[in-house]
Amino acid sequence: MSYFQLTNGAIVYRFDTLGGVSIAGSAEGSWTTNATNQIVATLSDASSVAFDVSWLFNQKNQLTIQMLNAEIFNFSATGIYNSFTTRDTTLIVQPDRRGAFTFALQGDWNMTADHNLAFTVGGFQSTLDGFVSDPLGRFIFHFANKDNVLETNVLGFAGTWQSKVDPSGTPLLDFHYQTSTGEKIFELPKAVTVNRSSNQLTYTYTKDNKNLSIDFQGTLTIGGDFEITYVVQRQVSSGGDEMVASTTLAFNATLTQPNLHGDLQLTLTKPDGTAGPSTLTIGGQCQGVLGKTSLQVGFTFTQTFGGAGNQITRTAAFSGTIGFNGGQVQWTFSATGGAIDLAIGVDIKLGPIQLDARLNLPVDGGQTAGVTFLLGVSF
Amino acid sequence: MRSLGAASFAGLCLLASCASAQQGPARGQYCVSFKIVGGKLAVDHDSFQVAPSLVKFESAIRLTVLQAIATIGPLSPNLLIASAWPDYIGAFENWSAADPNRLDLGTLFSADFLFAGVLTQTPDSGLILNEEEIDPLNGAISFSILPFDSNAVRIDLPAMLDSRRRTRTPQLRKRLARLNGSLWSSADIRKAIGPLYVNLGLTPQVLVLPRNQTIQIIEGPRIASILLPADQVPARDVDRVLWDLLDTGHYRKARGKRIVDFDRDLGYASGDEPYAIQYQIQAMQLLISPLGYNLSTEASMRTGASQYVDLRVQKQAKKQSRHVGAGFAYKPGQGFSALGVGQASSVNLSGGGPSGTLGSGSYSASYLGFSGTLYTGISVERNRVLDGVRIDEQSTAESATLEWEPWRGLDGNTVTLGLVPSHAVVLNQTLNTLQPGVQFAHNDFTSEYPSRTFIDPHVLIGLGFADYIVTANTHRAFDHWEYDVSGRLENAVGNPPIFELPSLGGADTVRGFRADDAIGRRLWSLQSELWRGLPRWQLLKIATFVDLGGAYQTTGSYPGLREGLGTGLRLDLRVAVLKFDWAYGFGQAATGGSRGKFYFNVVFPTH
Repeated sequence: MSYFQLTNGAIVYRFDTLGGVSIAGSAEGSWTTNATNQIVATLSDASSVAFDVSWLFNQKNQLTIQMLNAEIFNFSATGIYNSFTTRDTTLIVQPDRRGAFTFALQGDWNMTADHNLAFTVGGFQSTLDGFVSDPLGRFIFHFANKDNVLETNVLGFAGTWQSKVDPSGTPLLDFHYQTSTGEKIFELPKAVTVNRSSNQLTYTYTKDNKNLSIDFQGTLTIGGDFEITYVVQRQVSSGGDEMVASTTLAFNATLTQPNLHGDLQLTLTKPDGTAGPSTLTIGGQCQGVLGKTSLQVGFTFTQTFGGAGNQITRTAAFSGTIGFNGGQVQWTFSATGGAIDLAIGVDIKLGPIQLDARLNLPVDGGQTAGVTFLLGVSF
Repeated sequence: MRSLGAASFAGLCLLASCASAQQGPARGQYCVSFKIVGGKLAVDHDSFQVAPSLVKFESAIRLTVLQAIATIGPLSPNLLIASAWPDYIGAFENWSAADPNRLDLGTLFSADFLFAGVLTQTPDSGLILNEEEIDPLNGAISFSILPFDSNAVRIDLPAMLDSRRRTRTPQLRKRLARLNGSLWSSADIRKAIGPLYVNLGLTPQVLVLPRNQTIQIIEGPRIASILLPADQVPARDVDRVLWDLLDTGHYRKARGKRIVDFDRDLGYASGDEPYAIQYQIQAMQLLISPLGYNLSTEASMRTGASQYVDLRVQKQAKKQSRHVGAGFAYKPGQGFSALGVGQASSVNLSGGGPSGTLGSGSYSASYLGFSGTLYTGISVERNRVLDGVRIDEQSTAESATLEWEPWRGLDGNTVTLGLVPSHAVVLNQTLNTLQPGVQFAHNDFTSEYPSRTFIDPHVLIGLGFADYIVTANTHRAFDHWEYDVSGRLENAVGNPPIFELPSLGGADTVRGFRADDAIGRRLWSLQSELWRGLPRWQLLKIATFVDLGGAYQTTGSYPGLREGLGTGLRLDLRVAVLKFDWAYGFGQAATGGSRGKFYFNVVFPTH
């Protein structure tokens, strides 16, 4: 059994990793931590003694106790297998996985730009070197004892995902969680994308040569003005506790790609409404459909979720007009005014004037042609 | 923030690990420790901690996990060895340390990499991977075993108003209750709720999410608007088409509009627009087809939790609708007859033989709720038995039908007033009649057990006689069974010609008998049918039925009760039902021949 010692006056208290306190070799009580992260020894006569200490994770992700800027104990140094979990904003430390003893540390959490978690206790900040990743879209942070990478821990945080777009038009996600002092936010530093095979939002990044991701599950809709809406599905822990509440994420986008073959590539717009550098690509198929007053482009896509038969298929409709411009057939979208080129004979086929006025368009020389085929659909 | 679960130390004692991992009283635990065979994970030891009620599932759980583990490839392409886990750790760490691009075993042996598929793909069996208890040090994982509980399951209906959810959720729970105590099964859950949606005519998109104890259902696409483009529907037809597509109340709001938005124009709450149900759209198509229009659905620009579609009215491909059809009919004792029909716009011509209509022509016109038909034709009904004499009843007739439908409800509930004056020569007797009547139709297609009821009282008035006739039918579908009850009452007063007297026997009254097996002034009949759909083809149904009927103050036949027992097949196309029956009759028959008789009939349900 590992232990550390603290002194109060002339008395030396010995604290073991199973929660016991002894004085001069004699068991005298138990210990825990209080709301200000002091170590509190409760003796058999019901008296208690509190010790001011500092808590820091060292660069090996090992929890240490410090006094006067000197380490007095490393919970991993003696080879015992620690466990760390979270309950609300509290870090729960189980010094020895074989024992039942746990204590709590109150602190503030922050995500660093390289996807580490900073943990600040009593003004002392330490950094847990790990990664955030989850196949179900939860905010789960993984880290390991660097002296033994098989000693892994996961910290789960409950909250909600919210979206934003930075001034350059990059789609970003924040994770909002509640603390006793109000709402706090983990900001994911990189752009969110769409996994085109599942059509689910995903946050991917590379760290230490590892390709990591948070793969979300939710319902995607695309508005006629290309607004992307994603309803994040509620997620729970294996014990059934809610980890992610359902929220709706929204991104404004426009169509800038030069053609409509296969997948739909949307360019996210900046807050000022102009097209930014980021794109989201949704797997599916475009096809022409007759709309209310004109031809429309329909885009059908399927979202897959884990589990057999868990699929949702939807069709988004975009209205627009076909016209000639400089000898090129162009599709101009009503919602955005953006235009894309259609390849004659491939995307669109023209023939004699159609009975349905929506299928007719003026061509060069003041003549009119009928659309007989658009994006895989014959009319 | 939440604790992801209590820690375990599976390597020391697998059973102890299972005990510490217990998540709640309703959940069992299944713990597995691994060894390496051929470089892949293989189960070394396993243990269960489950309630007695779940013991029966242990073999199925074990098999499911084995299958899931088998889909995981080798942990390292260069370590295709057989090894105990502790020995493999060292070999793997040496291998991964040789290349910084290789994952360490602690990272690999996690729900983000090695067990990502198990985490997301195996919930169909109700096994929840305890991802926070994955233990790379000891090569062990554990699962929570989640028994299904219809009362605890979260039913998520995102595309439905709260008020509708309060009705739908208990209906779904009731159907899911038979799965209580079993493991979560996507297939079983879909099968349990399937009949409800078949009855409603919906094709829902269902997500079964056991980890969340959630079933998410998007019941079907909703109608955003009806479109009547100016180049497709001339102004004079806009109201006529809308009358056919909308109920009376909504028609008044939509009159004259070419784009009828269900929210903006008809006052529907967003998310509560009517579903785009295929057979109802087919019924609408049938209503507007005589006007020369087609109805198509297309994706709407509106977005929401549901897929939205627009109904678009467009001219039929040919300027005038022309239809040609042919068919046959069979009546026991009266034989087969063939019939050919040609329709061009409002004109209908038909001809056939040797029984039934030999030739006829009609012209129909309608405007809003009013309709009229002029008819002339020659027909023969072979082998009638009138006062004991077999005779072919020949008739020539002219009639005018006037109908007014002052009101029609959302589900196709209607009241129709009709008047049919006619002039006929039947068996060389001149017959001038007037036939006023009222038709009531009530449909309830949004109920979990949809029903339709039709009542048609009318009276045939001729010189010196009157025949009061009431026919009725009610039909209701349950999850697997349907009942169908039809009734008929007739009372003739005065001195009607014998061929106009009520006739008992045949597909419309008592099967097991042929028409005219009893002819009397008073008649009643009741047909009770039970239908059950075939498991693999719900359109085809088996029917058993009992018919009862009586004729009184008879002419050339015995008065009293007749009964018919039989069975048959139903091809239920929603807008039409094809009925093929065999029945055996009990009771006195005016005609000879076998009591076992076949019938072929087509019924058009009221919508």
